[in-house]
Amino acid sequence: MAKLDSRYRKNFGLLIVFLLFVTLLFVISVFFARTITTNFVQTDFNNRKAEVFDETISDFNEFFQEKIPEVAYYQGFMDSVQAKDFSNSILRRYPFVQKIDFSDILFTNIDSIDRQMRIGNFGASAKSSYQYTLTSDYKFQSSRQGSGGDLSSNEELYSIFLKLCTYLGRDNIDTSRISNTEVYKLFYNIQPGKISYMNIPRMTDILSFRNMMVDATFQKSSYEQDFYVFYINPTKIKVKNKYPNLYEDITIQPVVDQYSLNEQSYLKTEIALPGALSDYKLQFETSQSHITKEVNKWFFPVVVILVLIYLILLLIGYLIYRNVLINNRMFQLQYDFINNLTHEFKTPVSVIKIAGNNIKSAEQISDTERAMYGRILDQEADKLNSLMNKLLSFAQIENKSIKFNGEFIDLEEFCQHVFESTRIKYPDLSLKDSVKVRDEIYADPVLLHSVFQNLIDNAYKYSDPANRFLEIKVEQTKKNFVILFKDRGIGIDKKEFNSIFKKFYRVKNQFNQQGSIGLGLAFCKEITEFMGGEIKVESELNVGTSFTLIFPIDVRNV
Amino acid sequence: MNIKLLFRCLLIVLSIVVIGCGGKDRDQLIPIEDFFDKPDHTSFKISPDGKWVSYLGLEDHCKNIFILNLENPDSSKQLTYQNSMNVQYYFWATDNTIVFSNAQSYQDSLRLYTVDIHSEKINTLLEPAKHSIKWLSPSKAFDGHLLAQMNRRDSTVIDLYRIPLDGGEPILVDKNIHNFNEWFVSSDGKVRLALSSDSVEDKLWYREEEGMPYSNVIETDFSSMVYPLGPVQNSIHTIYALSNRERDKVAVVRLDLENGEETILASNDEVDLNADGYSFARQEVLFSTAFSKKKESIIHNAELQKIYNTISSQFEGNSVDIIDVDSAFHTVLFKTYTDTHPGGIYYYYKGKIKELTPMNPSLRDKHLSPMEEVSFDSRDGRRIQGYITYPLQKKSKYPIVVLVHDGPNRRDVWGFHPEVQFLANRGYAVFQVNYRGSVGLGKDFYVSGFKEWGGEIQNDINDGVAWLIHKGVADKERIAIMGTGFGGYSALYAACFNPTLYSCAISSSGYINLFTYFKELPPYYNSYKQLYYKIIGDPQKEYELFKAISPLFHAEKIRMPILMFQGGRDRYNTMTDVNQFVQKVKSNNVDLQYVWKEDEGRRFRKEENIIEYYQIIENFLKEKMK
Repeated sequence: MAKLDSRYRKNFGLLIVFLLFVTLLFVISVFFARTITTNFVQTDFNNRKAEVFDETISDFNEFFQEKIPEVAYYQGFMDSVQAKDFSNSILRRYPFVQKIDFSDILFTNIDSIDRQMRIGNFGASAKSSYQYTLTSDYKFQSSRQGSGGDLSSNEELYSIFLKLCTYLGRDNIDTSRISNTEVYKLFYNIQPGKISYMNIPRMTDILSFRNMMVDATFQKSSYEQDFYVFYINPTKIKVKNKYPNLYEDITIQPVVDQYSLNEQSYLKTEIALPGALSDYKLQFETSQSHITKEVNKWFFPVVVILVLIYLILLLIGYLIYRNVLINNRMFQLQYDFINNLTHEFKTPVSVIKIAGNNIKSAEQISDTERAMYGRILDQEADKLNSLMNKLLSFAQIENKSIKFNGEFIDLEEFCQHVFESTRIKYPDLSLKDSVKVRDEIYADPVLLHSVFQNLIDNAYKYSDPANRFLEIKVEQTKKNFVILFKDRGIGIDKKEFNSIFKKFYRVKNQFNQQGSIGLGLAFCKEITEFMGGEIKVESELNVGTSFTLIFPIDVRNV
Repeated sequence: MNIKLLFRCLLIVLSIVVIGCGGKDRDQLIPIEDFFDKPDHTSFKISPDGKWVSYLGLEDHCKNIFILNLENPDSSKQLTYQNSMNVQYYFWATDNTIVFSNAQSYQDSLRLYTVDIHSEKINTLLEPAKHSIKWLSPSKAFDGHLLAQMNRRDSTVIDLYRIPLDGGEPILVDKNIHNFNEWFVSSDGKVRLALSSDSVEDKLWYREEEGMPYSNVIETDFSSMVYPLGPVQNSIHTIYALSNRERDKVAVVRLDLENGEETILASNDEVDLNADGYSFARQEVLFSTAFSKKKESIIHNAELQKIYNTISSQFEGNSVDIIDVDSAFHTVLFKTYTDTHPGGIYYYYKGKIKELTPMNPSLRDKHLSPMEEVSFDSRDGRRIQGYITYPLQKKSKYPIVVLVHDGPNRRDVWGFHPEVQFLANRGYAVFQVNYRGSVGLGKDFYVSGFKEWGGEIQNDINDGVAWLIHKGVADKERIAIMGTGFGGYSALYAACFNPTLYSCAISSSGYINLFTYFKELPPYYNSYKQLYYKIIGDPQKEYELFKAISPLFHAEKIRMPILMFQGGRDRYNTMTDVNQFVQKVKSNNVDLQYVWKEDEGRRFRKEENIIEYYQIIENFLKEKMK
């Protein structure tokens, strides 16, 4: 049968394993965190480019989607003055627009008008064309292009006119509406580097155009249209680097440029630009040191968090260890206590037993013997009783199950009783007393008495038998009653000041080999605090100890 | 004593119950469908001999012609039995023949037939064709021929034709060489009078006899008008006409075509007279009407006056509008209504009155809101007149819906308006303004609206609202502006430029770009441009003005919630403009709700679309005018 070790066990091996395990976990997580952050930053590098792209071409999109259609608002009513205003605002607002060609054209079937392009009766004639640019010093420059304009040289207009005529010439066109894709195909002509746009006519106008073309007898009429060509220089688009931390360098490069020449960059990606910008692409580059900086930026807080978690785990480990130690000591104390207590009980019990045996075995008992045995039995029973009372009341106070039977006590009278009984009990103690109080103290007389008794007992016990001296001073200050017990005993080491009030603690010296269970001072402290007072100690080894009890005068609120 | 007390108590209890019921009735929400319920029977007409009343009724989901015999109701019958096409319109050509037009949609080709009311035989009048036709008034046969103007020879030119009732080839009467808009018939069925217009100037042309050249007898400027009603009995060169020459308000006059002299027959100091009341059969003006405070009818013929009095006495408190009268005064078709009661169409036949159809049967017994005429001074001191319709539930302050009429060359009149009643039933006070430029209130008032788009016209509307706020009637936190066409333009304009006055705007095909609006005028109508230059401005010379008053150029200013309806067939807005506008407004995170109906024009016509239209409006107003 295995022998069960009932002693309190401590396993330091377990603690070390825990420590090792936590440390290993920490190292592994730091390693993974590093890998994940690196991956994260590299994915980000590839993904965020769309945002930079959107941001960068937002100006161009605004120009394309909002500004160009504004031409159509005028429904062909634009003339050179308005076109100038319009172009000026565009050139200044969108630096990537290099120059603007404007032609005020007429769609007509009137024969007397010089139609430079013509299909059926339907023809186009340029009233005037202008070119607008900004000079190098940002002055607006307008120049009239060859008057009466030879439209055939205007490739852009030619191509739009042709497209329109092809559309009009179809046998069945939807006469009620024109779809968005058709609008885009007919009235926009987008080539790399330029956008041509003709104001989108109303559906009824388009039907009239068709009639002009197919019906020779159609009412002679002419419609004004505005035609624009915007020349775009994509390199003038301002790159908006939203993520300078990710992308060290973003440039607009021609598509044909082979970037194999530029090998030193660590990470590289690109996006093609749309529509009229399609000759160019957006190129993103970053060097290794730049990206490492970014990785570290993300990695640092992760590591800090991991270290924190690690430290917390260590702290928890330490706390568990400390708790184990304290429990161990408590266990030790209680173990000692039980040993002491047994010892303490053993003496009176064996005395009683011997006395009993003696009485039993004696054939005759003399009066002196009877008196002696009686006294012994009585004495030892008292001892046991007081021992048990002490234990019991202490347990009660600890559990707060004792009642406070407060009353007003005349300290002088109370002290007189105590001193008298002390003088009877310890005739070899030289007791010096002084009581100077005006008011009565509010306290439980039984409890107060036991505090006095304990402190007097201690003073007596821990003194050289040749020099047993105790001074008790009872005074009243403004707020408190101060009761001082000053002896000339063995004194207490300063180190032990904190411990002496703990239960089951005994100062190790020659005086308490027996008859002490280490409860006395703990009991005093408990009771004093229970009654609203406090207890203090001052001592010097081999000189003496003084305990001070302080009770507030005004205790009615306790 | 006790019994008396008991009786008194009972009376009090009863009155409480009655008041309670009344209150409940006032709160009642009437379903949208009830407001826009159309009568099944429409287009009532009296036959020339006064024996029949004809109408269009629904049969097999299509509009067909029905005739009622007034003398002998048993011989009433359905005349046409079509189940795939609607009869678009019809008229009595002779005592026994009805001419009608068939169409599936308004863009359909021209299909004209005649039907004999006795044999019910249907004959083709004209082979189906693509050109348009306009009948001369009166549309009755003279010697078996009908007179009509058609662009048959050249699609851009309308000429005058005689169309034989028996289905023969139309005979060209006049080639249109003077740019005539309209011809007018003399008492003998010959055409001697014509009207030409280049929009700025109207000219009246006259000739002694057919075949002779026309000569110009009267010219008017853009603000004045002369419009022939019909010949004076036994006279060739005197006619009845509407005219406001040398006068502010339009009056009914007798006009001598030889010297251009007018004698006033009827006039009103406040408003223009309407073009009704002339009877060609009797060749006299029987009555005249005017939209004064209410619609007023002045009966000129003593015999008709008697009949009118008989009818009126039966409909106390109602307006009675004569729709048609036969020449012998046997039969009178009339319509009755009040502002709170849609009324119905009735006929009077030899002293008896019978109902033909109620106008909005579902609204018959409902409590509706009366329409009050109001007037206020605009900021420049011009007196502006309008109408306000309060909801039945009395409050100290009302949320207001400003309902701006289309035009501007139209006006709001007193009467029964389903749209107004609908809004009032939903708890909004409806405010209608006859802003300057509205017609029917005199020449001066009309002309004062010229070139005031986005100017004084808008000020008139806003001043009206300010006046309501000042009067303490309007809850100034809850004012909506709403309208169709020009009304929608006004709403969008207000959304751009009066953000604090209104809390939301509703536009139904409102003009958003006046350049586009102007473009609706095809270039071959060059002459019309002059009038538009006067009314709006010249888009080429005054493009700054056009930019300043077109909502499209100010979309970025809009912050208030907007509800926009757009019909795909509306010609005054292009889809490109509308899409741009919607995009621009939405890009500012403005609460814009946009409803597009491809097959609808400026106004929604299909019943389900009308219901949806008002449902959306109801929800929008409820949400934005909390």
